[in-house]
Amino acid sequence: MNVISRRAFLRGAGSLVGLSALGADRWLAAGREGFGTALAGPRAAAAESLIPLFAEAVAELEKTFSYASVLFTEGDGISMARDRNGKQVSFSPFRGHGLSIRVWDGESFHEVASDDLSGDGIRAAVLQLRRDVAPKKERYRIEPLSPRVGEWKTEMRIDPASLSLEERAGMLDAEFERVNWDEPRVRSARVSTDESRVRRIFVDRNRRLASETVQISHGSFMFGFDAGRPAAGFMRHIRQGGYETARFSDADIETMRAEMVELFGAERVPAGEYDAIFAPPVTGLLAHESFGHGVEMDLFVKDRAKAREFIGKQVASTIVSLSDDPSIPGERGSYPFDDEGMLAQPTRVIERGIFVSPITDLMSATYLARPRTPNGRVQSFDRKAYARMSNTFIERGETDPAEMLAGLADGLYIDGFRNGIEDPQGWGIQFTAQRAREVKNGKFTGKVFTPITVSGYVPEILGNITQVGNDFEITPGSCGKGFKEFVPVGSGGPHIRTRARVS
Amino acid sequence: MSSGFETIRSALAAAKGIDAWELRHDHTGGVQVYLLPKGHESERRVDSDEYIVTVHVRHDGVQGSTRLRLMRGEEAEIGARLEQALYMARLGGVEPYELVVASSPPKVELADPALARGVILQSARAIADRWVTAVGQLEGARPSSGELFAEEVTSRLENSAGFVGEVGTTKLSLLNIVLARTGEREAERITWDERRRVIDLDVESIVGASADEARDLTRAELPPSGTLPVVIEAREFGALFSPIVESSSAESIFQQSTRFEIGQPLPGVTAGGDPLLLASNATTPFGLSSYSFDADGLAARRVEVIRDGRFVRPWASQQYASYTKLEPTGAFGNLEIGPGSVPYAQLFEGGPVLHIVAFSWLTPDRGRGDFSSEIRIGYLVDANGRRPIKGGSVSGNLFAGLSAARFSRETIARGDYFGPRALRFEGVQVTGA
Repeated sequence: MNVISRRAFLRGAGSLVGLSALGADRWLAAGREGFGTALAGPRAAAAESLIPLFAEAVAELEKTFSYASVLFTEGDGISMARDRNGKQVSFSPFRGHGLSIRVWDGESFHEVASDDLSGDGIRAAVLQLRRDVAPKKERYRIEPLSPRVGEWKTEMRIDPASLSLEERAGMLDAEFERVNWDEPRVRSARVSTDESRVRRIFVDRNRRLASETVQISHGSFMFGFDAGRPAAGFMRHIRQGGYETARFSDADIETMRAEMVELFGAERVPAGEYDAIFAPPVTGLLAHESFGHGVEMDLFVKDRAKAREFIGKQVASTIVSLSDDPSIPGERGSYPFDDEGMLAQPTRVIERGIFVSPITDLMSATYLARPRTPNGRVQSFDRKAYARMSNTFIERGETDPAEMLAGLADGLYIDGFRNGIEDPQGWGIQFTAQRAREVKNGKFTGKVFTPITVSGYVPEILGNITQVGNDFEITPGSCGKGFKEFVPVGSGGPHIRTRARVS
Repeated sequence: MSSGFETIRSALAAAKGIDAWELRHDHTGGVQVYLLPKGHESERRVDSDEYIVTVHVRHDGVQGSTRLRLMRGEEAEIGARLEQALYMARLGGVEPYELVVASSPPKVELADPALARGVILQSARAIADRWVTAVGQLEGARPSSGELFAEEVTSRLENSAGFVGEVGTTKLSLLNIVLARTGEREAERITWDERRRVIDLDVESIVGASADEARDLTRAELPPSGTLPVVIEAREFGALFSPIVESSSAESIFQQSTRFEIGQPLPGVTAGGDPLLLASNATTPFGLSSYSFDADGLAARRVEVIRDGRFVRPWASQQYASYTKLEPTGAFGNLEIGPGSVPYAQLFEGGPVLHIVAFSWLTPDRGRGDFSSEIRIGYLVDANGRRPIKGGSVSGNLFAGLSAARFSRETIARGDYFGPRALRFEGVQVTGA
């Protein structure tokens, strides 16, 4: 399925002199009948009109500096939620826009970030950079990418713009009726559908890139008590694409209910080392926290990643290959170009157990003279770019998951994505999964444990992988760097079998 | 008041069909300094203006509400946007509630003049210089990098019920990363500290302590496996006590998602530990979660939520106070915990005791209070002294732990936490070597 389409467009033109403030009318949405569905058209056109201004700002700045670029981001969308107490229909809380203009002084970047899109605002930012930053003798040179002009737009089977708000609210009501469970133990139930549109424009000397990404997040949450023991069930589909994502299958709903009931009786797991099968969401957590964060090359510059010493060396079982790929259609961590103008393409990080490539932002690739990968990403216009993951996963293997389960004599089947934390310098790892099912002689015993924390030493866990499934699944998530800087990502892979410390 | 604010307020007042509205304006200015050992790597300036408009419409016995953000340059769009918001609000609806009426919020100190708009750049650079100097003097450890964010925000909130409030706040955030090496073993210590005032961000102490810990980590071992008393430092209390904070809100009572009952002891806690006093305090000068008025306009106050281990009253937003017929208290402010019964040093008696300085990431289960986390840095304290610990995990339950918990008598103030320096839980499961 080709979700990201491409078409050439746009050329830089115009002049900083005489720029007018961007008029309000350019943002006007359609009238009542269809406005909620028509946020895309007029706004996208207005965003495109900024490109010549950005190109001129870059040209002005490059009279002083060896490299300059502009990144514009804009978010919009509609959020709907329904629970037993009512319904809310609102604009996305992430609505907003801004731009970041940056220059290279010969050693590092300097930036001005602002939500002022007026000609005066852009001119003031340019003047501020020229006034406050002095070019230095060039210790490192930014090599601009080859010329490229392009626009990308998410492909959708059901464009939200083709649905009226009433229709969307009606769909939400229908979903709630399906999910809401008339069961005495269930105290609350909730369904939400969020449409988000993100427009990005990147401009430097050689590149004019624009994208509009539409993402639908359709989620449900249920909470209840059984004899004073609480449990929750949840389900969430997040895909780049259209409203086709905004519907649960009957199997989804049954699974959510069954998992909640199962958790009423769940116990704490006896802490210890276990033979374990990780379900794909947990495999993804392992990939993300181990050789995702651990190979972000900005950490190499700061001596914060042990992986720096291991390029070309064995770090995992020889049946393990791991990649980061922002070009996978439809996933939450996908994008057509990164926030520094590099077009999406996969990066093989581990090849048959050998660490072959880190992921980079522009600055770390420049400092360490390594090939760039498309991983320079920002949380928002008012934050800088770092080397960040996109969709990170262990690649598909050869073992049938059913066969994997049948071969587990005594261990745990760990499932359900919760959270994790990186330790790129110490190569420690911790992540938390929703539940583990006890397995004896290849069968579930019915005993369930929650929550499940897996911790250990990265090379040990990766080295202990003895089977890699022939299935594959990516789970959507959000990723922070240390204590902040959240970006949308995907992580996943197949079922894997390993041995791990569980508590 | 900005002209944009006036434009939007006038439009709200004139709009037909709106039963109530709230308008908030935040003007944010900031400086971000990225630091390497040699000095300032780069700087970013940030400037933004945003308006958050909420419209409420009563229809068919319910109240529909829609929230809208407008950025700088979009103020003139307000007419069309309000029409959209009204339309959307009518598609939804919950039980009606009233907005906060006119009041005089208390004056809570939230802003440092040293971070005011005209001087924030110089102040940020000066703090960054202090970091560079401090890491330059380290022995047996070396700096990796740092990031300093300085921010000042001016906010104005008005609503159709007559509430008007204006407040200025400042904040500093320091990411500090220090490395140490002993032989072949290298270790890093990463810290994140936030304060409202320059004077409260003790850069030199932060750097010094992180260097000590990084050096210790180069000889850290796994903890022994078994059941041990565990002393947990206050830096983890925000996460550790989150099940109590989340379960004690009026919203959780209304949503029936809490086991807590007003007037009753906390579920699962038996008498035997230091009786818990837990309060939300939004009035603490320069507390990170202090406010003069919350997002609804409710005035700052101190609210004891748990007293003598009993749930005495929920903290309540305007909406959920209305639904539960309880008094509104405002958003949860700074976490305040009452001082304990024993001196800090006594917490480590009767070893071996596992002293947790920092977990890798503590995320207790909200409903049950179960927690399990890897140890990012800790110490095993026994008759032989104090040995650094890293890795392994600690598993327990907050409510069971409180049944025999001892809090230190000594208290600290740390960003949005005010209370004992540490607590001790008995019989906690430790998994290590």
